[in-house]
Amino acid sequence: MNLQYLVLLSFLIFLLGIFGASFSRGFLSIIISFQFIIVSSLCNFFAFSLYLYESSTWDKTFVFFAFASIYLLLFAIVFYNYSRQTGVYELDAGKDFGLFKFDKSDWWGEEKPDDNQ
Amino acid sequence: MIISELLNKIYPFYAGASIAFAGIILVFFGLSKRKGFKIFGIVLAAVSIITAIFLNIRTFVIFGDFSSDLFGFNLYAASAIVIVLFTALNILIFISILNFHNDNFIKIVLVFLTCIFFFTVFIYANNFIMIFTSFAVLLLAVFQLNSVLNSGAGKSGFSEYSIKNSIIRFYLAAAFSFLLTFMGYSLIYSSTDFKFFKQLLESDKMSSPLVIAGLFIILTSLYIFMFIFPLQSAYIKMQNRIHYSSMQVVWFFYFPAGILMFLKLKDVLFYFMSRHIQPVAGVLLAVSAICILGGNIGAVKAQGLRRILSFLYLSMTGQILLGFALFGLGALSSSRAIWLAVANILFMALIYFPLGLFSSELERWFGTDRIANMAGFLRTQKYIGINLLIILLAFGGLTGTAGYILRFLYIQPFLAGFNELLRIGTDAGQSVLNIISFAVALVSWVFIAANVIRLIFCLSKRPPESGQIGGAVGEPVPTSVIASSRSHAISKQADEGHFRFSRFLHVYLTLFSVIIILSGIVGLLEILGVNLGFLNFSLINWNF
Repeated sequence: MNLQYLVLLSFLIFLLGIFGASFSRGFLSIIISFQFIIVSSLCNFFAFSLYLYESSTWDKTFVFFAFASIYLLLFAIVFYNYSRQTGVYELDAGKDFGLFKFDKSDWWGEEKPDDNQ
Repeated sequence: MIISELLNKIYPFYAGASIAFAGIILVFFGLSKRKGFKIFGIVLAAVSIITAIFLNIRTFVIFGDFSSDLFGFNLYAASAIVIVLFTALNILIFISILNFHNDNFIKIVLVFLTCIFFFTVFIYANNFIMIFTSFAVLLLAVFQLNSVLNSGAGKSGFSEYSIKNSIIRFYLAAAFSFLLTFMGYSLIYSSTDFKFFKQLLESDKMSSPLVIAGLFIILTSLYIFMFIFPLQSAYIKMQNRIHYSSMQVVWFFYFPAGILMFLKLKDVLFYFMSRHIQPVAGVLLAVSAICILGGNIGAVKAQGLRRILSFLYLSMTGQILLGFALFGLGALSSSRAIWLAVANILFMALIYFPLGLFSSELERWFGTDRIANMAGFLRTQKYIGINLLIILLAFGGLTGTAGYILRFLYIQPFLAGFNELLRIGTDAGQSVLNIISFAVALVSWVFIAANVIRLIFCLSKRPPESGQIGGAVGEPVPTSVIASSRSHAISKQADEGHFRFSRFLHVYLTLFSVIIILSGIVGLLEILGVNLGFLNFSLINWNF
């Protein structure tokens, strides 16, 4: 195992995360894709600090704060989604959380009311 | 003595301390639903924000710049904090008017104060960890505020599911961009072991592929964060559904956070611009042109006021980027580019707050925010109509208003050095970019003016006959019987000349119209080089 392999592994996981976040429409799939990006970033932090700077402590500090804040944010969104007890399963089964999907009304004209996009 | 020492120790965090103090007091009343405590909460929050503005300016004048391992404070930070606090004061007005009867009102004010506090921390931050963490917590607080403000019904015609879905989509995209920022930091930070962007600039690692990849990912994440075309879907859909006070939170807490994050990267951006002028300035120019064109074209066809404003906000974001592109091409100084970014946020506040309040009253009375509902206001609601006219003309960039200064300063370098910047010289690529940037600046002025003329035309045309006000065929109409019957009743009142907007709206619009005209006249005189003698400060020449 050397640095090059670690970087390639990290990049691969990152691509998986990007692909999942961009094309998934289900809530859980998107959250899992986000986890891939987090894991990829962690690989970078620890791989580089291990091979380039043997005793770096700042990276751990950064990771600690970043983790706390990222997980707070993600937890808040997940909690908000599942906080209303009605229609929990329909929400995820509907698979309409696609981050980058768009339709004509996003560019031109008006939306129809309650089109549930 | 002890107090004096304590105050010296917490410099420059006076603004944040003032907000935190109000928040701590308000915690003890968080569960109360009493009207008296709600009024106390509003007064306390307003006083703390006004105190924060005063302390921020006063202490900066006395103590000057500050820098430590984690935080920095300078003229730019002081100006940004004043603008954030000014917008916060206006958002408080929106929250107070539109949510006063909410049982959770004091909790909403608490979350709102948390947002302001972390926004100030984010502006102070200059270390990687502080920038990242404060940005994350700010985003979290904004999300909480938006979700709590939309716990009831949103815009009529949209179900609760649809509103909730749009909010989740928006913040999932924001979280995605935030994770990309984390990825970018992981590359820069771990490959260099630096803690500041300044350290990067002073080292020889700026050309490292990992650092460049990290910066590229961070800038890409900002592109997603700002919902720039073609990624605007989640933003446009959410703004069309949510509560009015919540819309203001997105416009003046969420997006300015992205713009200020971009400004934190400005030194690195300037570094790359100085070495690769054409590619970097060209990309900025392209993104700016996409924003300006997309925003204005989207607004032209929209019928709802909130949708029009949402599209035009993206267009104004393009204006900010245009300033940096012009700096890269040598047409503007770095101070002027930063000034334009900060001034554009303030200008949007001067336009969007009065129009937002007007739009909310329009929707409350007529059931929809369609611009057709304001037809004839220049004849039937003369006072409101004239104030709206002033605000819209300023938005369009009419001479003598604040809007003119902003639009003109983009064109000025080309007019001043017409023969220099627009001539095809030895470097053809640079010359073409100069000409394109001039065209984009001109087109953005013309496009926004065209959109504004459309709204002014609507204000000035003959009022519709009774029964035509409200939803029209093929457009969103109020679904509830109450709303539609109210809209009908109001249309009758309007015809009889009894229809009145709230007194507060009259005062609010007047105040903003006066600010827009006064700042426009002072700026115009400064551009013309006329010195009245009693103004000892410059409005447009700030040394950031």
